[in-house]
Amino acid sequence: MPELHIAGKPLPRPDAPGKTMGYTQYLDDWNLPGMLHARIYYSPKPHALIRRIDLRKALSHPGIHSILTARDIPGKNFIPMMKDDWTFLAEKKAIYPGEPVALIIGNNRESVCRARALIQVEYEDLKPVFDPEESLQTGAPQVNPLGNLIAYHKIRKGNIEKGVSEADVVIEGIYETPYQEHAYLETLGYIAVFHDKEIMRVYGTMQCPFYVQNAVASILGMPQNSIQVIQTPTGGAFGGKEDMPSLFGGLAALAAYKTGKPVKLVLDRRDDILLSSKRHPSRSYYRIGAKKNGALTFCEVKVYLDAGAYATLTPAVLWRCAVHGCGCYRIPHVKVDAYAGATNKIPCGAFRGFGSPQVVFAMERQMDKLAQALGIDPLHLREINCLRKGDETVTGQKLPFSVGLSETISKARSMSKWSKKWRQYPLIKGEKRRGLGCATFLYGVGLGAAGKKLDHAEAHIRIKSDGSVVFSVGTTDMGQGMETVLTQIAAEGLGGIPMEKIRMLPVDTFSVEDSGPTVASRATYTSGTAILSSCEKIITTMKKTASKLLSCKPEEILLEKGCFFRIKSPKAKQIGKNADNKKNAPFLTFEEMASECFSRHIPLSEYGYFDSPPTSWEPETGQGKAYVTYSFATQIAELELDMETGEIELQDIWAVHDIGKAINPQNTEGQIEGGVVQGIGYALMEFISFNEKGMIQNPSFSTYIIPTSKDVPRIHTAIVEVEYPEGPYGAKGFGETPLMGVAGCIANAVVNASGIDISRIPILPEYILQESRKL
Amino acid sequence: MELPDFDVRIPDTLKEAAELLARSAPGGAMSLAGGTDLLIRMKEGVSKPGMIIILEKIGKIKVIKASKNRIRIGGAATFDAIIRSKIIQNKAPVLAAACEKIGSPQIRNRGTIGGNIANASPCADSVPALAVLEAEVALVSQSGERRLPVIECFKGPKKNAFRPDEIISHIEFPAPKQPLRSFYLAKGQRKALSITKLSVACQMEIDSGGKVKKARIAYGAVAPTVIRGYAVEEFLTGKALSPGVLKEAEEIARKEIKPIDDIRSTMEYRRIVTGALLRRGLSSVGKTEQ
Repeated sequence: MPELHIAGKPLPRPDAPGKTMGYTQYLDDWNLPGMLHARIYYSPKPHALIRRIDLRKALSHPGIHSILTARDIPGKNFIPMMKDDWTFLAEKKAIYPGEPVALIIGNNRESVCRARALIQVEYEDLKPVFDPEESLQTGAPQVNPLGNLIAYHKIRKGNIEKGVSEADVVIEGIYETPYQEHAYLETLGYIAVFHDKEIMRVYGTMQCPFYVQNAVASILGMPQNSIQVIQTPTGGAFGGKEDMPSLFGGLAALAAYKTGKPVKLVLDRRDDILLSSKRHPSRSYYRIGAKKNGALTFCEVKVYLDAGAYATLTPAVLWRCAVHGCGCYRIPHVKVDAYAGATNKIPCGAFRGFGSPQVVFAMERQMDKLAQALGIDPLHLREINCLRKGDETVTGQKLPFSVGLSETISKARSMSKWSKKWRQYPLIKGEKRRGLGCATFLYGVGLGAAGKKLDHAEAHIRIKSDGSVVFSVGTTDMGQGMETVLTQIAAEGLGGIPMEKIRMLPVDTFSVEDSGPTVASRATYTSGTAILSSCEKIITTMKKTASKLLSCKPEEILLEKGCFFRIKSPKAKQIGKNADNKKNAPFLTFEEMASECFSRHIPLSEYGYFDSPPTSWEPETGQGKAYVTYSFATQIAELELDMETGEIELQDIWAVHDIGKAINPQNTEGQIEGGVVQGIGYALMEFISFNEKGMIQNPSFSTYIIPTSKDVPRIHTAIVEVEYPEGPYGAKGFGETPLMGVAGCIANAVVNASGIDISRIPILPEYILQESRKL
Repeated sequence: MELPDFDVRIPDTLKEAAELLARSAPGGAMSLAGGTDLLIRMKEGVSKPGMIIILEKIGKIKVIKASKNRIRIGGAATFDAIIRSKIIQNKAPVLAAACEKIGSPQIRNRGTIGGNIANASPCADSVPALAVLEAEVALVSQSGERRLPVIECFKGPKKNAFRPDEIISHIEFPAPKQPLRSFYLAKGQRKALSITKLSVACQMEIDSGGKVKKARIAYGAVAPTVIRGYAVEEFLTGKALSPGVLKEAEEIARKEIKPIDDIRSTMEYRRIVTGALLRRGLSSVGKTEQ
């Protein structure tokens, strides 16, 4: 690895000043002349036929321009996602409370809001089903038009009976995890403009502009070269802006198409929570076994995800759930069955971790129960079984490199002083207890074998004649810091020019080709690799030109800290590294070179490409190279538990992550801390409450409770860098992982403190109290 | 949800405000102090006044002052002003403690004690504290002033006992001669910006022999309105706060509250933890005595 000057350094984020001082313009800060406003009328019914839609009263409300229903869609009433089941607007049947039925368009927000209450729809109620296991039984009401089994994935490795017979100890458990709301700062919002009735431009907050492009193409029946989707600064997403922008961006485009005017569709918080996807709730049935020495012999998992009414991204979420279901361990005999059942509730979609936090929680509880049964230190049990370089995953994938799991365990052990504490804490009795718990886990980086088709990316870099640089990519910054990281990679790749000289352009579907979605912790290594490939082409051209100007061969040009030096011997090469002696070597600056190339008509404008290394999957056995590589982590929580009130006072969380290489360590730490806090909410307080009709009862932040800064303990982060040779400067993706182990390590700490067998989250004080009274 | 249309008046005096209310149809006009509850109720369509009378300019009803034996807090005094007031800190720390539990700094800067009473929520934090201070609420209308003990200000959840033409001008309670023992303990779903799921307020006098001379206890969020803990009060009077007495008080408290299951907690949890908080509070009060 060459010495790095910019990549790997904790440099400030280019987007920080605007966001901290408040001058960054988000979608809702924009208004265009003549712009109309739109709002969604949604079905309040869990499962009903739509008999009649009466718009007369609503249309006569002052300020209303028009109201659109499924009949007004010129193209297809299907949102392109994983299956052809998801409609923009319900036509004959509405299958969950919150399903859009009509789009009200008017002069201002107040009018469209009031007119919404005047829409009259006659429904004929059908029997609903709310539990995914029930929905998969014969005779259950048919929710989804393509059938209630939204997806099924399995893994078969070795021989499960053999694994059971080899085990000295077998542990069983049933686990439940709840919905989780993304709670991003900026709600969903889109502006569509039908420019000269030729090009449909859609602006908005989103993760995946190319998904929105395809959705607009579907609803309007227009070709991709007539649809320009431009991402606006995006105030958080966490997966919640993967699938939903296709629906709402598509509807904004429909409104602009039908009215011929710019249309803004912004959801307020209540509508955003009621109408947008959530994390899938899960119920899982586990059985694992080990020999007396702690070595795992088998793992058997049956897991059900509640898909909600439509498939959206569920097949992919379920696939990741299946692959991650047995954790980060060497297990010879494996049987996993993962089902997603349709229910008459809000469709579930992507959320940081994408189907894995559910099973990481369950598996990590299983590991602790196993450790207890075997009388082994739970962290040591993980050391015994954890995947190491050269090992095989449960899908039979050999791991040839970048496996830093054991390093994360030992680092977390020493940072938290684990060995001393975990034996002592259970001895504390009385009202106030103390506990320590751990979780170890892996995360498959990128889309993996299930998302193969989309797993490529394009980047474009242009050097301006003054030496400043612009680049375009097809992946997005949603607050996670991609712009910073890619700018650093570009600065390093262009020979160490300052980051300030480089600007990332807004992501625009017209500037680069479809680069797949910005999900699965894939932006850094996919777009980063594409950027480095375009940098390489540009540098080759610049070196060639420099060699002509400095009268030498291209190989005799050394590019360093933004200067092209002529070197003639290894001795002279050292001159370039020493600023004081620079005068001894003839050189041209990056700016001089940019200007020279411009006046000599040598274009410094290059596309770069990332093509995913191969992955594979055999659906009948669940064997194959599931992901290109994996990130690993160990998280440990320490807490105080009040046995009388059931309250948990988190003290410390240690989060140690193997991410290959931190391109910006400060940003990495920020992402770890943010993910841990989101994990704390998932572990301790967040839940969606439904009424008997499947309608969400807590669509606001006074009733949907997420942590505030006061609920956050000390978070100690550490980064382990075991190089991923196929990633930019050794980096692999990791953005989702910080959330994933938190529920497991907190639950295990509660058990360590109290002996209560935690089998579901959130671990509310009410739950602890109820269980502690059984002890 | 969007706010409906409404008219706004900003009177300079309480008299003017009372006139405006008197002239409107019942419920047609509502007075607004901080707006932290009313505007949300209006957005949700629960309250639908055609006119809002903003009390912002009426300085008189923001004042906190102590006279010889009484402490008087203006109805439009903000929670933040109450928390910072030396008078309250010294003479009624239980109220300062309760107000600190409310919302966030932004909400405490805007929200007022009068609004907290008028909103009539069983989980209003200031109300149990006012109840143990035996506060009276002064209501002004065109027909004059009347006073209600704070505990009589509520008919049920979100239903106050006021007439639509009345404004809370101030709250008054006796100033203790010497500092009294007190506590306010509450549990929410998180540590800040949280709606209380159960609370206990207490103020008591303990005689030189270490026996309870007078105890005042109130509970929040465990009944349709804030309620006084009369049974525990009676039980404690004349007793020393021994561990056995505390244990019994805990059980009595559990019997005299009427909690329910809702989105924030369960009946069982509220019953158990209200008792536990009372015992813990009493125990700490007993300790400071020695």
